[in-house]
Amino acid sequence: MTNSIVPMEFLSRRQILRRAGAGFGSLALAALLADEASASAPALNPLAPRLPHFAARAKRVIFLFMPGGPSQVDTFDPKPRLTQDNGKPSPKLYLGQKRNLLASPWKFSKRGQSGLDVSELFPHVGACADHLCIIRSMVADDVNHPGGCLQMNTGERVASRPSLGAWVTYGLGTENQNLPGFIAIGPGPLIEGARQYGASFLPAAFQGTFVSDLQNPIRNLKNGQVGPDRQRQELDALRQLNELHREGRAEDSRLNARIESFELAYRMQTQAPEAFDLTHESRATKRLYGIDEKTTEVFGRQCLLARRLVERGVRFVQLYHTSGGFQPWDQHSDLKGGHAKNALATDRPTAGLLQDLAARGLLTDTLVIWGGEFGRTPAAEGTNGRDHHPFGFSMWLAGGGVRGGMTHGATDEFGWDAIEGKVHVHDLHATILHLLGLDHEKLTYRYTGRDFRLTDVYGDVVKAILA
Amino acid sequence: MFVRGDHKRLGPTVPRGFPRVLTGDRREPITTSSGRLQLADWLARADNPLTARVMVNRLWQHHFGEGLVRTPNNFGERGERPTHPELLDFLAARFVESGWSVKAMHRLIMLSSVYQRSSRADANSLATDPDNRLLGRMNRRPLNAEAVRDSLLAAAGRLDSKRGGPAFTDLAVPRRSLYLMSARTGAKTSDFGQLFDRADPCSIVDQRGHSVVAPQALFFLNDPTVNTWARDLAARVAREAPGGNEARVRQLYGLVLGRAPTQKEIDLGLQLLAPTRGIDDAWERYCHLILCTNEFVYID
Repeated sequence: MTNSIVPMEFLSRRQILRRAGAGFGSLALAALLADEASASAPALNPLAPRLPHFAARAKRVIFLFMPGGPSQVDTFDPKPRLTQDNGKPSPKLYLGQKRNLLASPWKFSKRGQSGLDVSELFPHVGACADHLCIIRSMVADDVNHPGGCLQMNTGERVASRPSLGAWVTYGLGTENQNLPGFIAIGPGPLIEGARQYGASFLPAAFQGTFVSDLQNPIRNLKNGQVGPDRQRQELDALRQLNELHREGRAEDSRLNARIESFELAYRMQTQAPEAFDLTHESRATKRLYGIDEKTTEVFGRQCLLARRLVERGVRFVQLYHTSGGFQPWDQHSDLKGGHAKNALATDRPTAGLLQDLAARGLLTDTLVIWGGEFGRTPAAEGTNGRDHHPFGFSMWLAGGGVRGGMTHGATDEFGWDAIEGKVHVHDLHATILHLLGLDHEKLTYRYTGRDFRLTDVYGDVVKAILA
Repeated sequence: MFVRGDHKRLGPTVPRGFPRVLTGDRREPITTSSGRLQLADWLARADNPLTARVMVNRLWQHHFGEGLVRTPNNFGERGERPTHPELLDFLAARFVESGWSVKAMHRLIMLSSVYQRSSRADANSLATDPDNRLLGRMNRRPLNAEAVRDSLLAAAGRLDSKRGGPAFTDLAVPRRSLYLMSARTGAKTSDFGQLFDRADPCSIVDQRGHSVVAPQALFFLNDPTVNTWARDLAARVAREAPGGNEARVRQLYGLVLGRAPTQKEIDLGLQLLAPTRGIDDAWERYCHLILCTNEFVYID
């Protein structure tokens, strides 16, 4: 890898503050950390911040992942023809089957200055329309959840590959050494489990830290045995013993790195719980995220945590909407009930996150991504459901380097297949890396004799959506 | 044929056989059975030196941290050249002669003088061969995930070395870490392995990584099971060395680090254990500290 570590002098005051995680009181700590980052080799502190390939538009990512597959024609891709032909046989067979078209039960309206069409499922997200760059022409390869989720999160449907967050952290390191660089948050288990945020063949340090229990977010953070003073004394004694051991072994930098890792661990014990603690957020903020209401509380907490973490320099935060099942958007039946429930649970928190990021000046260099592993069929499954459909679905991006208030691409008149400006998952990944200042063809890792990429041999940056 | 492995992109029907790129024109079609037996025979046939080389290189890597070929999954065009080609061939030939005995190969490697070299490097050796390609010294090696936990259990005197049995998830179960649960979907998979760079069970991993990250230190400092093992270790030391603190410090160093402590280390230990400090769990905490040392996880 040719990326270098960001020297202290390249850090802005604001970056230093963010890196320290707690404002001016921690300036000395920030300086200490920066010193450490520049003193140890990248191989030893794989999470040390690194410069991108070129100037970045976004410095960090929040990916709001919607497992199960939200329906495009009910959310961000209105189809008057579908409404008109409700109940008629679909002109397109799906997986060889004849099915009847099913109109969306929700109305669309023009939202924001830009007048983007957003369904009434998302009144609050709709109010943020001017931030949204809606891609209506997403294409994926897999018709089922396991392969679909893996492709969206790792680029590959079957074989084990590093996740998007792992690649990003590998490319850029992270800005706060007291927190993991890549954090995945979901209240429930995930289909395909750890592979969705794993490091696969990349060094294990780049894997996502999965947080399910918000009260106890990171393992072994609490010392149940001794108080901080005594622990400090013990660590000093440990350092003495390790320094004695290092005599005559000075050439082995791993030994020093391990000594320092105990110091970082000591600091994480106090810094990490603070980052995960929502109690000091104002009532207004909690209300903004919907934490004050039962229906929006869980995803609201996830979203507020995401803001706190990126604010403190975490590089990649992925939220999984998994309250109410491990793939809650999978409405093979009762589209109306299921999608309404999911939209209700996520709409206010998502809009709250966008507004809060914007108000804090973070949205300009934070990339927010929303979407599932695929979309759903415009034709009905049974009488009131929709089946999986990966060949034309909607996702949106907001913030860091994308144009707000625009749509990109189009599906056909019924909302089946992407026919204009197709964006394959590989293209989306290439674009995300581009926004972060990484060339998807150059971000490689040699494994089993070849240089692997997130985008394999595919991927084109979607230039049309860049601000 | 599935194009790029995609079951919906069917290519032409290809009869079962060895890839031409490997066999050249001596390609014999496989007309009966699944081809597995033919593959095994082909891999292990007398005029194919590659299989034995690859295997002994793996065994060498296991003992030295690096193989004689440092790209163990790639002996081809883009792989590294062997640092000691004659040695690799000698070992490969001996391996085949011994009837492919892995045990005999372990013995041969471990009885060699190169395996028994010290890892303390002199300045000259460091300057001329920083990567230790010539094996003038032994490589200092970090314990891998399983060995970290097994060593902690062994020090505590609690390791159950019984072979076989069902997989387990609870770290407190004193069985060997080899049997920690690992499943493709992650269900019930212990996250201990990931913490210490255990191989991803879904990937072909030729060499494990060796990261040094703070969550590992958090495990050593705060994990309740480590605390329990430190307590067990303290009880064991008290049992085995009923004398005074100094005798116990000596016993502790012998058990955990396999050597006698230096005077400085004894002094530091006695200072931490001094009764004036008024801490009744001082011994347990001291044992815990010794388990956290670099020396415990880096093998010279």
